[in-house]
This record gives sequence, C-alpha cells and structure tokens, in this order.
Amino acid sequence: MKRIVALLAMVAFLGLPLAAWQWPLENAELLLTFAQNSGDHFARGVILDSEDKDVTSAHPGELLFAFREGHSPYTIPQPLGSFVVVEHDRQFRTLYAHLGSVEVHADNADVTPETVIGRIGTSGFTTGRGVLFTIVDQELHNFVNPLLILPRQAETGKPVVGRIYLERGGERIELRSGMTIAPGESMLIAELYDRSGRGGAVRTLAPYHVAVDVNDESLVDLKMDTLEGRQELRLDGKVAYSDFYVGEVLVKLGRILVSGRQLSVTVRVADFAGNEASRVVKLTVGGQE
Amino acid sequence: MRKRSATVIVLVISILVYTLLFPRPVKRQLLVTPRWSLSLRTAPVEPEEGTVLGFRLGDLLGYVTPAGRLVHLEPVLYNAAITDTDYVNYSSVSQNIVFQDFRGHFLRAVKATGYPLLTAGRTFVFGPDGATLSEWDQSGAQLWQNRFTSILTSVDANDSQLIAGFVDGTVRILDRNGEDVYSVHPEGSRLSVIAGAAISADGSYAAVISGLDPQRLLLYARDDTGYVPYVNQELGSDFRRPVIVTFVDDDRYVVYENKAGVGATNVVSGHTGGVSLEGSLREIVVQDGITGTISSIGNGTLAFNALLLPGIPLFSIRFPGSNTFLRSNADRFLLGVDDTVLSFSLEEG
Repeated sequence: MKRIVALLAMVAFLGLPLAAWQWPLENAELLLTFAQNSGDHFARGVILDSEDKDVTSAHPGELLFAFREGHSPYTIPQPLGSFVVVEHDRQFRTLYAHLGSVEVHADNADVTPETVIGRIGTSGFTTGRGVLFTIVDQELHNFVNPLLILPRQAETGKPVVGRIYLERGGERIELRSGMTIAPGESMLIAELYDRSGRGGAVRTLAPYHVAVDVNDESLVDLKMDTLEGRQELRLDGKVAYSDFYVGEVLVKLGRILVSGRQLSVTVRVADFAGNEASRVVKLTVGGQE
Repeated sequence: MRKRSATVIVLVISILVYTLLFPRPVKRQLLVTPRWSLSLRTAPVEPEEGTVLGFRLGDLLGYVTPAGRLVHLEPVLYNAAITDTDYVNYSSVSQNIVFQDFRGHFLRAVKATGYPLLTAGRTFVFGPDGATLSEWDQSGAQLWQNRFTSILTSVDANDSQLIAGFVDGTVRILDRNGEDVYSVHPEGSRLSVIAGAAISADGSYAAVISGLDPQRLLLYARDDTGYVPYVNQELGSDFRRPVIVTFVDDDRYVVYENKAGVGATNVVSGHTGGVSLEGSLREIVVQDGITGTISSIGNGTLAFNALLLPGIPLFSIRFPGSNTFLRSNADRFLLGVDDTVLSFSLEEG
C-alpha cells in the first residue's frame, strides 16, 4: 500500500499521467471488483467485460508465463483457464485469466500496451465471459486494487447502505432510528454494496471505502486498496475474509459496546469514482442487558 | 600354438583399432512389434472385468484392456481426471467431483468446488481462484486446504508428499496434512517463476524448472532438515509456459523438456545427457529401459522418438495427428493418435 500511495503521490506531485497504465480491455465494464465476496475469499482482482475482444497488456512489460487451457498429464487442471502473466519493471505483475486464447509467445516476449496478449473468453471456472485482471506488487507480495492504478472511469451509480443490524447471542436485530436497544456488546453488521451497470443490467459490486462512526467516534475506516499476507490475504493486511463477509453483501463492521442513553451509528460507503452514500440510525439504549 | 597366438593378437589389435576408430556406441537394433490397434470410431464397446488402461484422447476418455478391447468410451465434458480404476468427467463450473468406475458407473461424489487431480492414489482439488489446493479422502471428507498467495503453475505428488510451483517463483513441498515440509524461492535468475516441478516416488528427490534468464534445473535431495539443493544447472531454455519435468526409470533419472528436445539427469551422479527432438515435447514414458517420447512438430504432425537415457537416440517416426497420448503397460507402449489406439513393444533385436 505504501508503495502505491508513494507512486500515486509522486505522479500527482509531478503532474504525470498514469498514461502508461491502461485498461486491458477497451470500454471495459466491471463485473466484479477488488475484494468482493467470492464465496469463501476476497476477489484478488477485477473481472472485466467488453464488446472488444482484444486483451492488451495494461503496462509495458515482458511475458512471464502463459498457460493454455488444454489437457496433458503434465499440466495442472487450472481453473483460471488460459492465462497470461506479465512482469512490469520488476515491480508489478499483472494477470489476465479466463482468456479465450493466448496470443503472446516467448519468441516475442516484450509487450506494450498495444500488444494483444489474448482474446476475451470463457476458459476455466467461470460462468460467463470476462477477463480476471489482477495486479501483484512482486516485492511486497501484495495484491493491489487495479482501480488504484488504472485510469479513472466515470461512473454514476451510487453505492448503497442497506440494512444495519446488531448481532448478539445468535440473534440479529435490524436497527431503525428511534428504536430502543438493550445495553451490551454486539457485532455491527450492514448490507453494503455498489451498483454499476450498462444497458439496463445492474451489477452488485463491493464498495471501495467503508467508514463507520459510533457516537461520533470512528469504528471502521477501511479502503479496499490491497490484500496482503504471506499465509492469508487480509484487507490492508488486517482484516481477514472470515472477519468481514457474512453474506454476499453483508459485512461485519466490528464489535461495539452499547451503553449510555443514546447510540448513534453512521455508516458511509463510497465507490472508486467517488460516489457516496450514508445512513444514520439513532437509538435509545434501555432495558436489560 | 604359434598360429593360435597370432590369431589372439590380431583379434586384440582389431578390437583396439575398432575401439579407437569408432568410440561411439553402436546403435542398438530395435524390433518394433505391433500388438494390436483399434479405431475408436468403429470398435465395439465390450464391458469386461479385469485390468484396464485409462486414456484421454482429444475429446474422448476411455478404457481398453491390455489385449486391445474397448471397455468404455465417452465424450469429455470439459476436462477429465483419469486413473486405471476410476475417473472424474467434469464441467467447467464443477461443484461436485463425481467419481465413476471404468465402466462408467457412479462410484461416489465429493462436495468440492474446482478441478480434480487424481494422482498417487490421492484426490486433489484446485480451487476456482487458481491458488487454492485441497485434498479429499475416499469418504468425501476434506483432509486439508491451502489458499496460497500466488497462482499455481505445477503440482506433482507421491503417496506422502506434494510439490507445488507458483507464478511468484516459490516452490513448496507439503506433507500429507498439507503442512509445509520445505519452501524455497530459488534465486539466480533475472525473473522468478516456476515452470515445472516434480517429486520422486519415495520423496527422496525433487526437481524444479525455475526462472527465466537463465532458466535452471534444480534438484533437491531430502535430508533431516527438509530438502537441500545439490544440482543447479542452467538449461539455456526460455520457456514461459508449463514445462514437462518428471522422474522416470524407478526414479534414477529426472527428464525434462529443454531447448534441444529432452534432457535427462541422473539423480545420483548429476550426470546430464539429452537428445535433440523436433518440435515440442508432449509425452514421455520409460518402458523397460527404453524411453518413448511424443513431440508435436506442427502442421498436424507428431513424432514418436525412442531413446536410451541419458542421451542415446534410437529412432524417430513421424506420423500425422494432433491429439495424442502415450503410456506404458507391462512390456508395451500404448499410443493414441486422434481416433486410433495402438499397442506395440520395442525389443532389442
């Protein structure tokens, strides 16, 4: 994360465009975003779709590894299907997976953003067309949110703060302003998602930024910037998948101690384009613990 | 007596002169004996008990008897994991690992998401993220699962260990519980990536094709602390894709694809040889000391090459075809080419 922040700061300071990085598909549409709930783990990258079938390298680099879907007693059954890994300046590596075909070869290993490295496809374990694109910081062994590095795309769909719950003793209570809640320690849970889509199709994505204030004190301030960890990938190196997602869009926000007379919970989310949404619930604390 | 002595002297001198003039080994004469062949398009399927040999040929999977009868044949859905007793024929979004016996009858199902690898009597499943591996027992219980931080490029296993290579250049050897026995990130190449990895049947040795610029063969020997490298050899190759590497001949040799064709290194002495092959290596099988390979030459042409390890070419035959498999059975090779399966033996004449 520090490297990315430093890179972005330097670029901003010098007024340099991140022009050397480009989306691997023209007019790419996000089907799944970084750190989204992928069943039992955080998504390590984004899934992109486009009417344009050519997949190009996101940055100048060198072909590191190409895997072609097929069968051989000597190759593993790789659920990523056909994929390409490109090395960039010995700092980053990018992955392009579920390709329909691989178009880059060892005898022409240098790639530029104009180089078609593959075609969009459905190879491997996937329910539909799309390219899984991930960026790895090779030195820090982090997965980096590609949206941090790729040129910004305009997007108008707003993220959503849905239902907010307190969970205690196996019971989940939906919070509504004005209700009375008994004191005690509870887990704060909320439905958080982003909406994106084209041509009438609405996609549910993970938000980029989640912040929670309880009685004006910050409980959570989490950005989906990196997944880090040698043994287990954690958001920003801290939050494990099992400590975050409890449903497709249902997220554990942390433990709070319900006490005093009033409880104010503010949940804010933002997508990467900067669209924001928030919800405030004000509760009265009373009754038996 | 004097005549006999002169004959012996002439014979000895002749042998010496011959040895000095022709130091290369004389090519061995091989007798290729076809045993049977069958066409998968026309051969009747005849259910049968006893020993059967599984194969995958193009979009078909099947079983034949050593005598050449077709026991089972079915189209592959997306991919298939096949042993000589059972198989899993799975779709691209595989949510259950369904085992069938060689007749096609249901055996059992394992509630696992991903793609199976059946090897050394063990069942592994590759998770959808390309970086997760799990092992399952016969009852369908998960024994362990590892979600690695890098993408898997190669996996090989024996009955007690597993070796895994990764895009980030790491190699890990895991025990039966999925715990790390050894982990290494080989240095010495400009770019790190693991293109191939293999482990010997008894776990004494591990072989890795590592890195780019240069690409290296690394051999590791097991010791009390784990594994120690003892061969580090530049290959001169530049493969940016999975590379065949496997132990053969009762683990006496590790063979691998190299720039020229196929390389072979004696795991004890480290002595290396090799044979030039046209095209890219597809299959390699050792049968009674004779190594058979299939290479793909392009334009719908394959080649069967016979050689002696570590580096004596015997003969090569080209034939048209694109889908192929090569395996051994008793004293024979079993070769599949497009829609034909044939059995033959190679004997020294």
